[in-house]
Amino acid sequence: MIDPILVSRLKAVRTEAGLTQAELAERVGVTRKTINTVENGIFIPSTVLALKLARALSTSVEGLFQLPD
Amino acid sequence: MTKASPGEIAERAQRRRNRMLWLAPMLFFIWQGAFFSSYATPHTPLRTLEIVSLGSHLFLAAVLLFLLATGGGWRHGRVVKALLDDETTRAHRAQAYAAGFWALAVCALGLYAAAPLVQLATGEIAHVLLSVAVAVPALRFVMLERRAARD
Repeated sequence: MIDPILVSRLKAVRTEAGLTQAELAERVGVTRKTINTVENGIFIPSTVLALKLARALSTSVEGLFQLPD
Repeated sequence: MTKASPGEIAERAQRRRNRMLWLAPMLFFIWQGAFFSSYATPHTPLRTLEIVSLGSHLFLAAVLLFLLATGGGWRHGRVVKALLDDETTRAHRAQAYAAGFWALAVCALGLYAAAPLVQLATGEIAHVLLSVAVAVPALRFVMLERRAARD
């Protein structure tokens, strides 16, 4: 299996915040599909989307995404 | 009854778009058989059936290309339209276009290689190239969108 180029904690942070994918999607102005792909590591979000996600979840971008060690 | 949110409307519109972009390329491939069995040696002047067939093919190609390029949702408001053309959709579209480019290049290479062996009319070559240019990106796009929607 190929190592991910971005480690995403989005699902864990979203669940902690008690939000569904659809609710988070609505907050940042994207579809649920986009949240799903970011959580599954299929899609790497743009800087703008990463910042919006961080703001919606009251955390930092580093709190959501990290480079693999 | 509660009013659907823009996200829900966009999801439904996405599913409709995927169905359309999946079914129409299938029609294109079925059309290939009909095309090469009749229009490949067209009557002069063209019969009504041939004109309708060619016209429908062109019309469907134009609609599909427009749907792929714009993301659809024309009858919805600005918010839903923006959701239908969000970040992943644009990324999928770019990947679909790339797949279409390579499919066209391979198809053109094949036609070029076959040219000394098989006589092909301009209309036939245009038909094949247009079908590949429409069907391959549309199918690739749907594939990516469906994969993205899976949990």
